[in-house]
Amino acid sequence: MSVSDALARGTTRRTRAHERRRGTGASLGRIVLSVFLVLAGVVMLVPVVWVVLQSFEVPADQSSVAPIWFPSHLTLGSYRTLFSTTPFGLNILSSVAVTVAVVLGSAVVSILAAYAFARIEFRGREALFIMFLAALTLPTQVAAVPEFVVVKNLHLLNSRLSLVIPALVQVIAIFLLRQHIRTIPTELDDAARIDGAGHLGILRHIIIPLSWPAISAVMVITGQYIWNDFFWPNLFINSTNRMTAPLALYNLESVSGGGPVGAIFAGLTVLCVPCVIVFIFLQRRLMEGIGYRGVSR
Amino acid sequence: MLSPALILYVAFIGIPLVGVILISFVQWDLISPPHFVGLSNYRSVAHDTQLGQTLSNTFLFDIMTTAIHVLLGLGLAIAVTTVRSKVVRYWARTAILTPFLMSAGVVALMWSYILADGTGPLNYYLTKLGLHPPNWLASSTWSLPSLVLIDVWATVGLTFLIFLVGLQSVPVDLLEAASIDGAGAWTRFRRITLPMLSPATFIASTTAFIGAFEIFTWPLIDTAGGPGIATQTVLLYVYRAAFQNYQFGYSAVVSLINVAILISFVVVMGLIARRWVHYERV
Repeated sequence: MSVSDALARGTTRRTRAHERRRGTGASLGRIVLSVFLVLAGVVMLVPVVWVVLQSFEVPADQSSVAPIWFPSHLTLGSYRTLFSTTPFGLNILSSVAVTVAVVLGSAVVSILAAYAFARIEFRGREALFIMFLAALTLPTQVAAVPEFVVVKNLHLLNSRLSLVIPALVQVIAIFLLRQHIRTIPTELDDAARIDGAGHLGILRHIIIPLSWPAISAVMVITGQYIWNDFFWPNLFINSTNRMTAPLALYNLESVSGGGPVGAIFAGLTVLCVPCVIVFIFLQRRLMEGIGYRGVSR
Repeated sequence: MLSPALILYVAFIGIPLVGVILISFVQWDLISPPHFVGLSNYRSVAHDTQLGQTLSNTFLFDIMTTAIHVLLGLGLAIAVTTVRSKVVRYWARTAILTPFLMSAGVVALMWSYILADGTGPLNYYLTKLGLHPPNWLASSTWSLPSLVLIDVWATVGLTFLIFLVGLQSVPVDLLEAASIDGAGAWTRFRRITLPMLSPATFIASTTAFIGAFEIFTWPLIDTAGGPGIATQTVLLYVYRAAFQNYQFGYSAVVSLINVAILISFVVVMGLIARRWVHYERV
């Protein structure tokens, strides 16, 4: 009988009693944990629920200081005010157009660049790549002033193109796609090359089909970033019709001095609810994408 | 193939970054042509009465935010990983991540109504509880912590997600082995989970710190940097110097101070990482 066996026997009874105690302790702990998480979720969502409810309330309920969680009258009046008295429809179109253009455009730019960095040998490739990476450590906002000068000199100020063209280079997307392309065996490229494919052929028939999960994850995070951005639209756009939707709401609030509260709540709801729905459908893709992105918020 | 990316990079990242340095040597209101003033913009830093307070606001905000982000993000990620019920897990994960998917502008507007004194729901309930809540966004004591609250609510999802991914790399058999050897929950956490999470902690704290340093939308919309300049942050100051006071040269100097701080932070974090971050695979 070895020492450890003896020890094991000696402790058997104690361990059992200990485990029993831990058993009830663990289930109590589990209940506390579940309650904590349910409450944490409620805390995160209550502000959103409050805004959504407010947007459907009649003006009398909206101006009540005590929050009304079960309104007796529901109305679309705030939405009617929002869409009839402000160009919010156009603002949503602006947001959609800018987001779609950047998502598609930056995907093309990033795939081409990522392929070049991963597969084409040329002088200075590593140095260039490091130069791209360096941009990742600094948030782009630090160069806001000269960026403004560049955009002004390109005569893009107050044009929606000012939100599209500079955003077409998404360094993080290039980096992530390059990492992905490097995991694809080069033998596949060689096979395609023997069949007469050039770089574009290899991209089309091999790299893009095999990178589709990474490409779509990158597109989702780019879309989320552009759709939600406030900094650049606030800097570049000043005519109300061309503003993106979040900026237009801020403008409505600050210009009118907090006037049409209902309309602003309606606008906030219009911008929140799609997020929640899209998130429920794209949860996995988004989590992958955001998990990758890590570096920039 | 690289040319589109390269041209865009040079025009919209390269030139602006170099441009900050060039603009810092000129006096320029963007209308009349710039004229060279040498180091005079740099000398103005010494007479700037707002810069010190602005920097300390930003650091204070950043340290509070980063600390809460890491603790709360880690706590929530561990709770979500540990909980058995799939429904609770899905609920918590969805709820924690939802605010992170909203526009900063939307978040800021929402909270300006929630925290409003007299009409906002938060103070309504606090008053009901018999408390005397401050006017959060207009109080010189509470406005900065209020922005911390908004920031944590809006972006803790990212930190949470980083830890969630990190926790998946902690091997279950190692934890089980330790458990058989008699290690309690705290010892297992302290000796296994925490060291295995050091890369995630590193990424989460670096991300939170850099993100929080560039905080802009909450002070712009919720407090207008006030009361006074109690919540004026570096990026808001740069924005005001340039686009409200038309001192583009001076704003570039402040931008460079910002860049210098971020670069030193990254360097320090790199040194810390070399000492404390474990990348062993088991």
